[in-house]
Amino acid sequence: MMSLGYLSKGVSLDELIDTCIDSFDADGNLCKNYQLLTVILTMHRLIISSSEILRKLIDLYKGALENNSLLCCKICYLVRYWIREFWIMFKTDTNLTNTMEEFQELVKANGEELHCRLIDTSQINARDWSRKITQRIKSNSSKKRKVSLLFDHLEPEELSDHLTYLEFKSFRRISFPDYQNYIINGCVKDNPTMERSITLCNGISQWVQLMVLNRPTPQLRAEVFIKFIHVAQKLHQLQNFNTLMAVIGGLCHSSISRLKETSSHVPHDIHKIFNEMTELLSSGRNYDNYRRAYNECSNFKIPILGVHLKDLISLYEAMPDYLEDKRVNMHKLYSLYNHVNELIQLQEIGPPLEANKDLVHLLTLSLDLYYTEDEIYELSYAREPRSHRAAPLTPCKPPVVADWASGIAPKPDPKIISKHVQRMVDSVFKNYDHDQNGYISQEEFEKIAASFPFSFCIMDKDREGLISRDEITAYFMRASSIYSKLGLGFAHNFQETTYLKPTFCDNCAGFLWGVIKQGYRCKDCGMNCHKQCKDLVVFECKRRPKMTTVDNSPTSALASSLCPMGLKEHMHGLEEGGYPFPNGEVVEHNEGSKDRTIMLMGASAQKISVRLKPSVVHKGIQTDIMMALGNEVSNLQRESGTSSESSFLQPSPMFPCPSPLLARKKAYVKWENKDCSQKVKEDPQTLKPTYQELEKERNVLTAENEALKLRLKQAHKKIEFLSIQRNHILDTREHGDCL
Amino acid sequence: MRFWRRRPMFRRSHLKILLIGNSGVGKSALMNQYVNNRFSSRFRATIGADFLSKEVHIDGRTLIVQIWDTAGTERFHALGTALYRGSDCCLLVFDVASLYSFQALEKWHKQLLLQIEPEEEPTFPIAIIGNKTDLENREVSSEEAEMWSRLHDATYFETSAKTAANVQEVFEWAIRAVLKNRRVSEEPQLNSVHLETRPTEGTHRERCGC
Repeated sequence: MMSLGYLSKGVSLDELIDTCIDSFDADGNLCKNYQLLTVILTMHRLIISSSEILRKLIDLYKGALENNSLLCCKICYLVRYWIREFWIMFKTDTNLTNTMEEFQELVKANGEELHCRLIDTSQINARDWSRKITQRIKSNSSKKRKVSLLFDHLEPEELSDHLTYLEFKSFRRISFPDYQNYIINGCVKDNPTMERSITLCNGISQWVQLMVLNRPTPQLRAEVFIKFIHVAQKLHQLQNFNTLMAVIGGLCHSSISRLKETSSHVPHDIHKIFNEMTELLSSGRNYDNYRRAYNECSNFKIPILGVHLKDLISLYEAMPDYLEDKRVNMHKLYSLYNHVNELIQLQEIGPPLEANKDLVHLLTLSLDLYYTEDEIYELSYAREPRSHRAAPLTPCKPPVVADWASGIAPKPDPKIISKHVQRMVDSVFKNYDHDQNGYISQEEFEKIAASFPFSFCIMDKDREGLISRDEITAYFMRASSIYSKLGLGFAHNFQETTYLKPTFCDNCAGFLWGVIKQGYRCKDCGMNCHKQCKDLVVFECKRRPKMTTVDNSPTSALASSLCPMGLKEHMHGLEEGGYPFPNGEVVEHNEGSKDRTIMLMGASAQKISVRLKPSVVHKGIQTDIMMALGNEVSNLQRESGTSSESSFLQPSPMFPCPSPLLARKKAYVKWENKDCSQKVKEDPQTLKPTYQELEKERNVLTAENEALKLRLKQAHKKIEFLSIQRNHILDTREHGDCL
Repeated sequence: MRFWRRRPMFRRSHLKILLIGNSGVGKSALMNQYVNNRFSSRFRATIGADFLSKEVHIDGRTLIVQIWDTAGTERFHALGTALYRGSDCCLLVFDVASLYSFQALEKWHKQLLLQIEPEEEPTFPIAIIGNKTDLENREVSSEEAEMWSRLHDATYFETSAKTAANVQEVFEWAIRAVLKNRRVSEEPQLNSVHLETRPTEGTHRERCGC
């Protein structure tokens, strides 16, 4: 802290300007103590605009033209110094530029060639005025070593290093004027560098929360939680307090801290570390703990920007601009200068780490999140619902209106996201396209996608099991645009639905429990969700494009089980008109019409498909097929008399089943839809059953259905068990590979 | 376990009042007016632990009031969470000359409700402060703000940090509301030792005071 001496009582503006001019000697050399000059030139905007200062200098120059050439000279040296050291002001402040031109003309008119040269601003453009921006922190990309882009494989150290790299990159771009603007405006309006830094910080907090909430079970969530605690420890070691705050802030957030089950899976020592961290970053005694730790650190460190910005605002507010008799409060300018300068000085020391470009790209895209607080809460409630004693979502907490958050969440820039996606995709292909054929495998894609909190998104793919660059780009663009809501509509066309196949909620990723009417399904995009998630869905409804060809490759059934969408596309050839994607494996409860579709998916990937059409007969092929189908089944059942399994063993004369498996496998019947439709088209007007007949058949089928459902439930359990087992094995194997 | 659960009833003489609201509505000015009385005295600012505290004598008790304003950190999600921790009372501030800042109250109120413990939600004292009444161009009328406050179970005040109008009253209300709230929650356990007579008096005064 420099001593203010006589200045502490305040000085008038004119005295200040005189002091500045006197900082230069006749040859333009700076005198020893020019700190005041620097403070005035940097901080004057808090009390007076730059152009006003220049105008005062012009007036002084004019007055001195007659008899004081030394003063004129000194003024020009001062202006030159100003231009040289703070050229950015002349780039950004138009008023100042205009006043400067005025000054230049005045000097030119008076014919002092030396003076003209001194105050020349034409060289500013030639300067590398974005010097800082072009300076790069070394990030190694040349090394042959391929990196894993999977979140689960990333070591806490890698994560913390790369987060620090990103943090420092944005921190060092914040210039002196940016801090000043922030002080004056009290917000980040027209302050893109500051905005970027804050957005990054918030992005990290949200990402931390989402990565935890993205996991389906408390155990898995606890694992991510623990991982982030380790990341926090590394960040602390790196003295990157800003990111540390973001990570711990994310973990402290009540959307995470309310997860009691998750917390119960976190071991005691991790809790202890976590508590130490929160204590370190606690706001208690005005962040006393943090301030002490921060001041003890030397070399590279990144401060908690928010705390220091708060200090700046507090100082600015607490101290008056002027003391008695309109004297400038120099103490205020000095203390603000010192605070800002301290932050600026930190930008000179780079972080002691090496960054991998590909990982940087991955993280950059991961952090492009624009969730609202409420959406994160909804996810949290979906993961671990509130306890029973508390009513779920009391009416005093109404659903979100996105506008409320508009003051907090910045609007994402599609261009930036697109750039981040491109870079990320490049990195993915560099590391995963082993044979350089422009495709990566489905398996690897899924693993990469799991590193992001958009795992629900469904991939449209053209080549089985392989994913092209365009597809992966489209996927990430879509996924992040869904998250960032780039003006896409979200109106889903939900309908209560009975799923006959284990289905998970696309909103919260939880299982859709129950026997009938387990959830809701969007007729347009096929999204499935819980009743309680229906209104909370924050994802775009994307009407999928019509399929032109029917995929009947032998692997399609298998693919369908991986990707539930495939199944419906498989069915698409059947129907024309109406909505483009008829439900395949589901029963829809549509109050408007009485037709029902039942499709069963057995463990052997064979389907039973029955569609009933009780009374109303619509025109068109679709109805006729279904009519005929229903009738056929009813005939079968009448023949056998009961609803015993044998009824399904009767090969139908009209629709011979193409699968030879069928005769052997009891209880599973596969209707090859394509064949059916062809048959029916040949003979559309065969049988017209009465309402009573159909009613009866329906009853019989319902009973049949119940029996099958029981079996199905058992199958579901087995599938779940097996998939958990599979994941477990995959995880351990990958882990082994990685190590 | 809720990691940042308030420490149970110790440091009774401390209370924390939180000021939230959009940037530029004068939260810091309000705080400074109350804590440092900046418009009347010269002030040497040193940022430190005591920067935001004020010793208050109220109803015969001496209390340390910590006043937290979010100025400068409104946009930091991570910092926001830490600020709400352990606060006893919240003042939602808007600028009567800015309709936008008034509309934003809805958002702040909601965020506040999410952050405070559900069990203390019904009793948590909240006041709405319409600041900058010294300005000519009002965009939000007293009636409108009063109505909104009543809908959200909050007390409404109008202040001017510049002229200091009503500033003292707002903070006194806040302190009394916190004390009253604490007494209510303490009484069941402390019945036998609770001999102080003053608080009842305070309750009455608090009622007519606003």
